[in-house]
Amino acid sequence: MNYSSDADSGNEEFAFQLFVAGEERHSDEAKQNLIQICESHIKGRYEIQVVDVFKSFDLALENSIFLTPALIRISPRPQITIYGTLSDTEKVLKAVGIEGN
Amino acid sequence: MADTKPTYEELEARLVEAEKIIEAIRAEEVDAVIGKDKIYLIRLKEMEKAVHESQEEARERSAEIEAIYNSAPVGLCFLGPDLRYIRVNQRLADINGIPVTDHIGKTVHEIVPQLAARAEEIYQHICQSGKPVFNAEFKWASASEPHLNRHWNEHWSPIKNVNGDLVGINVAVHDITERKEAEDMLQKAQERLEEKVAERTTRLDLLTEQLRELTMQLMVTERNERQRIAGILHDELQQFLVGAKIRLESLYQSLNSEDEQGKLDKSIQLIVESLKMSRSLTEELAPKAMEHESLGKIFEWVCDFMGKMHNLKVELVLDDEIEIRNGDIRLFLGQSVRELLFNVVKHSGVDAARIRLSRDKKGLLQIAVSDQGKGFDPSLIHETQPLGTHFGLFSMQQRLSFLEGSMKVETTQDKGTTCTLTLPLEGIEPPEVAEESTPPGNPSETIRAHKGSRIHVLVVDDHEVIREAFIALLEKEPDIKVLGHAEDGTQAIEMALRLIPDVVLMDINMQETDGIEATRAIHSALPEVQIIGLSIDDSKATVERMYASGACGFVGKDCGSADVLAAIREHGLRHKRRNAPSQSLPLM
Repeated sequence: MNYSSDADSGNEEFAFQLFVAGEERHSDEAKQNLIQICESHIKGRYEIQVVDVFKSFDLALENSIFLTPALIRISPRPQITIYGTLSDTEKVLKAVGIEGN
Repeated sequence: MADTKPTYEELEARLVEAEKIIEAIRAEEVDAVIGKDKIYLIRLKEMEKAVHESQEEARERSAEIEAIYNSAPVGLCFLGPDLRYIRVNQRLADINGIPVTDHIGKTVHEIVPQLAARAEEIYQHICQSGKPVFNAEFKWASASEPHLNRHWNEHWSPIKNVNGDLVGINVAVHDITERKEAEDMLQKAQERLEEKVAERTTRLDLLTEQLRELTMQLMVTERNERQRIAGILHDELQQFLVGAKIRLESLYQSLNSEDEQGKLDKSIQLIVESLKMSRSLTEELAPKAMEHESLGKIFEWVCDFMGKMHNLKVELVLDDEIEIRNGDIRLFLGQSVRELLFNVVKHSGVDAARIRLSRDKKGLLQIAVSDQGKGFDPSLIHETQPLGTHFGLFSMQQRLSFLEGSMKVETTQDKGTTCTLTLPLEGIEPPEVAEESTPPGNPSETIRAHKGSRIHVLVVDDHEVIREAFIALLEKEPDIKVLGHAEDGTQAIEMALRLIPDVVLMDINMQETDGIEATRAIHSALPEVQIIGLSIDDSKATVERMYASGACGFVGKDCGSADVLAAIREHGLRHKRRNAPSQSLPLM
C-alpha cells in the first residue's frame, strides 16, 4: 500500500469520486467547492467522477460510503475519503494532499 | 468468508473514518445517510428551521389564545372528566374568588359547592347527548359579592378527540344580572303601564257615563225649560193679550170718532201680531205634536210646520212604525229633524226635502233627511250656533254619540245632501220625571138660569182675565146674557147641566178636565146646546178634535171680538129656534 500524501511533484494527476445525493444542497455545494479547488490548484491534472448514490447505490456500498456528500481520492493512492461540503479549502487541500500555491 | 479480526491499524483507520463522519454530521454538511438497502435524506437545517418556525407559530398562537383567554370578560374554564378544572381564566377565578392555580385539579364541587348539583346534571346531559348546552341560567352570589345574588348565563361545549370520545368541556360563564334587571324593570314598567291604562279606561268609562247622564239631564232640563216658557207664553202672556184685545174691541163700539177707532184698530192689530208671534213661539218651544209616541206623527207635524213657516215641501216616507216612550228622545229627534230641515232651507237652495224613517237590520232607528240641493259644507257641522231654538249640527252629533247613536252626512256638490241619524232603540227608556199636579180650581159661584129671548151664554175659561174680558164684551150686547162662568171642565159640565145655556164658549186647554172632554160630556147630555171652542191653539188637529167631541163651532182667541159675537149669535139663535116649542129643564 503506497502513501504519496507526503510528496507532490507539482505535476501529479488526481482522480476523485464525489458521492452526492441527487441535487441536495450540501451535495451541490460539495461539487462546486471541489471544482473550484481543482481549478485553482491542480488545473489540468484532475479528473472528477460524480456518483449519485440514488443512481449508483451499489457503488456507494462497494466503497463503504455511508454519508453524502463524500469525496474519495482515487489517485494518487492510497484512497482517502473526506465528508462534507468541502467548504474549508485549506483543510481539503491538506486532506487530499495538494500542495498550497 | 470467515471474519478476521481487524488489526490495530485498521481499527485506527476506522476510528479516523468515524471521526470524519461525526465531524461532517456535526458541521451539518450531510445530505443523506446510506443504509443497508435505503438512502435516508437528512435535511437537518431545514428540519430544524421548520421545527423552529412551527414552534414559534405555536408559541404565538398559544400566547394569543392565552391573552384572549385571560382578558376575556367572561369566565372560562376547561373541565376534564369528573368535572375537574384543567384550565381556568382570571375572570372565572375572580368570580369564584379563588386564584387560578388553586382551581387546577380540583372539582367543581370543591370550588363552588352550591353549583355542583346543577353542574353534574348538565355534565350528565352532555355525556349522554354529546351536544352542547347553551344558555343555562344560574342564580347565585359570587365570592367577590357574597351578599348579591347575580344571574349567570353559561355555555357548556363538549371537546372530543379524533375518535369522538369526550375529553372535557369548555365552559363560558357570563354575568347577565344587568340584562335581567333591565328585563325585570321593563316587565314591571309594562305591568304598571297596563294598570294605568286600565285605570284610565275605567275613569274614562265613568266620565263617559257621567257625560251621558249629564246629556240626558240637559235634554230633560231643556225640555222642561221650553215647556215652562211655552207655558208662561200660553197660559199667561197670550191670555193677557187676548183679554186686552177683547177689552179693546169692546171699547171700539163706544168710540164715535173714526180717527179714534183707527188708532184703536192699530193697537188691536199690534196685539193680534203679538198673539201670533207668541203662539208661533209657543209651538216652536213645546210642540204639542211631540207628545205623540209615534215618530211618524211627530215628523208629520214637523213637515207641516216647515211647510207653514218656511215654505219647504217635505215628503215623509215611513218604512216602519216607530214609537218612542221617552219624551226627551222624541223631542230631541223631532228637533233634530227640524234642524236638518232648517239646514235644507238655509243651504240647499231648493224648496223640497224628504224624511225617511226606518229600522235597519240590527234594529237601529234610522232617520234620513235628504234634499237634491247644491250640497252642504261639512265644516258647518262644527260651527256652533248662537243660543236660541236651534242647537246646531255639532251639538246634535255630540248628543247622538252620548246616546250611542251617530250622524252621517253625505254631500256632493250640486247633487244634494243626505244626513242620516242612527240611534239604538234599546236603552233609551225614559228617566223618571215627576209630573207636577196642579190643584183643582175653586168652584165658581152658581148662577141661576135666566131664560128669555136673549142668547144665554156660559163662559168657560181657566184664565180669569179671559173670562172677565169675555163677560165684559158679552154683557155690552143687549141680545146676549151671560148665565155664568166656569173655570174648568168639570165645573163647566156641572153648570151646563144646571143652567142649560144656549151657547157654551168653551176654552180647550184647561187643567184637569179639558175643553174637549167637557164638550163631549155636555154634548152627549145636551146635544142641543151649542158649544163653541175657544183656543189660542187653532191647529187643524185641535179644531178637528173639538168638532169630533161635539162642538159646533170654533173661534181663535185672537180672532176679532166681532167673530166671537157673530159665532154666538149664529149658534145661539140656532139653538133658540130648535128649542122654541118647549124648553126642558134638565133633571137635577
